Amino acid sequence: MPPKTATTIALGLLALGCAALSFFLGPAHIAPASLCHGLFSGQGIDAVIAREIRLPRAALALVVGAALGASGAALQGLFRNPLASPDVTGVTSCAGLGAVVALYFGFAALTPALLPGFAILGALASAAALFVLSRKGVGVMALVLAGVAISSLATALTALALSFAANPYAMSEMVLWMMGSLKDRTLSDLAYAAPLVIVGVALLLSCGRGLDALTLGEEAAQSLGVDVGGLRARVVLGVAMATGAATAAAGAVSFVGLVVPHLLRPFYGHSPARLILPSAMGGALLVTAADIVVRTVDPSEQLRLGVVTAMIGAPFFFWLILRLRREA
Amino acid sequence: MRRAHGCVAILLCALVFAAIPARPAPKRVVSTFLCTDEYVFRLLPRERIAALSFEATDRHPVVSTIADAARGIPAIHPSAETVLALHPDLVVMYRDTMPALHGALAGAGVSVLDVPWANSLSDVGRITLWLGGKLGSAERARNLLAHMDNEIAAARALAHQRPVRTLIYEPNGYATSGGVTDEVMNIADLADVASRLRPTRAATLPVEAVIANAPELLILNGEPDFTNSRAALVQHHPALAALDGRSDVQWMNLTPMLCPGPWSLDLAPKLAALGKQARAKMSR
Amino acid sequence: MIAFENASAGYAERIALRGVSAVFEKGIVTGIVGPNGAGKTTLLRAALGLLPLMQGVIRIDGRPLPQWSREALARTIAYLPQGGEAHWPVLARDLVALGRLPHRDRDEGAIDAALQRADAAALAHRRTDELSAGERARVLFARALATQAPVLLADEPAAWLDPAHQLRLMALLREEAKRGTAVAVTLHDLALASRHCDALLVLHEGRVTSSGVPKAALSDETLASVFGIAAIRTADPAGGRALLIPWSLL
Repeated sequence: MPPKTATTIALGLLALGCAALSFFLGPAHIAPASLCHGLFSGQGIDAVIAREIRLPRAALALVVGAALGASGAALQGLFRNPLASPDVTGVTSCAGLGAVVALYFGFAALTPALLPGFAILGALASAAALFVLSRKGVGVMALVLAGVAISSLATALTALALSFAANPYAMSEMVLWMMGSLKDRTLSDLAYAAPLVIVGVALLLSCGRGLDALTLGEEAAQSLGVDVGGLRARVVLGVAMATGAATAAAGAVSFVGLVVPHLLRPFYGHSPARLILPSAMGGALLVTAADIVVRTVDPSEQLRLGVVTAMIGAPFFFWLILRLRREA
Repeated sequence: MRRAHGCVAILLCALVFAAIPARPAPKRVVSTFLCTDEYVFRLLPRERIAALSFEATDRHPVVSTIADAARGIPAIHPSAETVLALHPDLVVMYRDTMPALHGALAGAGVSVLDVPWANSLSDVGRITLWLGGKLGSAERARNLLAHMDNEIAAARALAHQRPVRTLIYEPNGYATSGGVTDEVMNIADLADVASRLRPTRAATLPVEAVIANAPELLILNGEPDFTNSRAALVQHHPALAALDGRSDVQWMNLTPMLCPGPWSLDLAPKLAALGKQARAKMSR
Repeated sequence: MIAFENASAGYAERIALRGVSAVFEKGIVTGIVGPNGAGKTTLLRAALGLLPLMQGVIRIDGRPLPQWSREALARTIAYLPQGGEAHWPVLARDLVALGRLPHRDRDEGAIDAALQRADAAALAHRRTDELSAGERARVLFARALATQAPVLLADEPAAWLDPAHQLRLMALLREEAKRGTAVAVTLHDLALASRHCDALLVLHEGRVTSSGVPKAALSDETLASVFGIAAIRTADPAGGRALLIPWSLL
């Protein structure tokens, strides 16, 4: 439907616009024109800053946001539950655990690909728990509680892992993993995150038809020719890849997967399939904007990205629970 | 007769005064902090050290200059219990650290020596001599300072007329300036540019700032092989590699400067050599 | 259209169908009745391939069930599960459009026709969460019709509906049968079953106890042995069917 496509394109353009703003923002006050010139010419300090520092940060914000937004939309479609999202269900915490083990115990030093690889394995572990839960048609509260349990366990294990790490900075970086940060990210971080996120989101997009059918319930969906078991597996795998790669790059950025699909749902006729791509765009927009806010409010960058998303997301989460309880 | 009595009186007084023992040098000394460990280990023979703090011999990570040399000396995690169990006759603490331990030791009637932080080389000299006196090792203290002077002389011999613009970049982007570090750098003929680059409130410099105002010599504190934390990854940021030709980037282990003291000057000749090398490279 | 040949199926804890042989013919409404736990829903789920058979074979249009691809089966059998739900508050029309998924097209003509036949055309642009139970039942029925499948299976479609909506729904099912669809419904309301179904299948503990026209299938012996009740029979004032009203416990 043309109006809906227009909205999606608008979201995408807004996200790109924010990314451009993010690209031009930085402690070394360089004129946008010089930055652009540096980006394409590759000559001089401006080029180094533009390509090695500004570009990875702006692009990663888009990639991480897209991963989290699409994952949230897909999980909400799979569970038929507006509270599902990678962070509420504990997927990001487990991905963070995987990433921490890879980085602090030297695996990432062997091959850089092991960092997102371990994060994806961590995400798959919690996603496996979700897989089992989703078969029972679990209720609202049960899903949230299971997510809290998984999250708490993963966070505790992360703290444990960091305390055993040989590195003196390990414990203080706990905050970084729990609250997320895009500071000083490199092109190599982007090179690993982007393809994995793209594959993950593509996998989620392929699940659209099945997620729409699930609106009628599992049995009706199966009678409509949807392989529900295969659908579950694809959603779980897609979410694990996208969220795992995003968390490996930026740490656990919370609430994006919860807020964005929920805000966009009414505009797309509450159809789970139509929501996935716009949620990716919306997520990219939200994370990029949050990254700009973080650097504007505190140029010394002690404020973490996750703080901004949590300040928007947590009150929203609370309001959502109240509203659902009232309706129930 | 009266003169004879006077001489005897004086002789008796002299004998009495000679008999009063000088305050005994402490025999069981416990040090509770890395920076006092470094002093205590160098000023006292091993038999008189009851214990050092665990950081003195910690290998994960190595933060002390005496990690190998001090092996065998008991290392404790300082707390009232662990310190009192050693029955020390003197506990050396850093001023304003561990107030709870201070209070507990005062309550137990144990002598505590508070060592102040050194902000300059003259502070270092003063504190070294004072500590030497308190510990009954004045001779060793003087030797330490003599060695320090030798290092200063060696560094100055390498020095040039024009100081090299230098930045010391630590994990997480820390770049502090001032204090003993600055003085050591000055002796090595390195001009610290950290303050000019306006570090943030947390004393960090973003990678961007380092690249935009590249110093002639960039010293990365740490090991080039350790990439196992986000903090270390900042030092390995590919953007720093782009400084090739504009800065001389060198890795160096700066552990001696972690605690200010005479040993910090051991770095001075090495720093001066780096500076000379950087100057040669940059002028090419 | 759908033939069960000595079919047995069950779950981990128990066997739900034991050697069931039955046929759902085209052009008639087959009612499946029986006490709770008799295996009524299991029979439908087995026909859809949602539950594998332990014994016997199910043939759809002559071909055994395992030979049907998932998509072909979806185009052939439309299923209206019990307690019809719409988890998201979509527009009624979009809900009905889901019935076109097996055909992978959004045939607006088929959707319109389905809404028309289900007597839900006026509801097309309303949100499903704003509909009453009866209106939602009709919209869900339209969804099943939108697939244009030759077989329609409905599980307790009249449960929780008020009498007017119950009658309306059964009338819609009979219209579908008249078009040539094989309609099979499970019902627990014997009065409704005996009045609106052309053939009945009585299940008890997984076995077929009787089948045939309602008058024969629901004989007094069957009512006593399977349901434990006695009933009053009256004649349909409009002529034709005998009516059954469960009356007393035995």
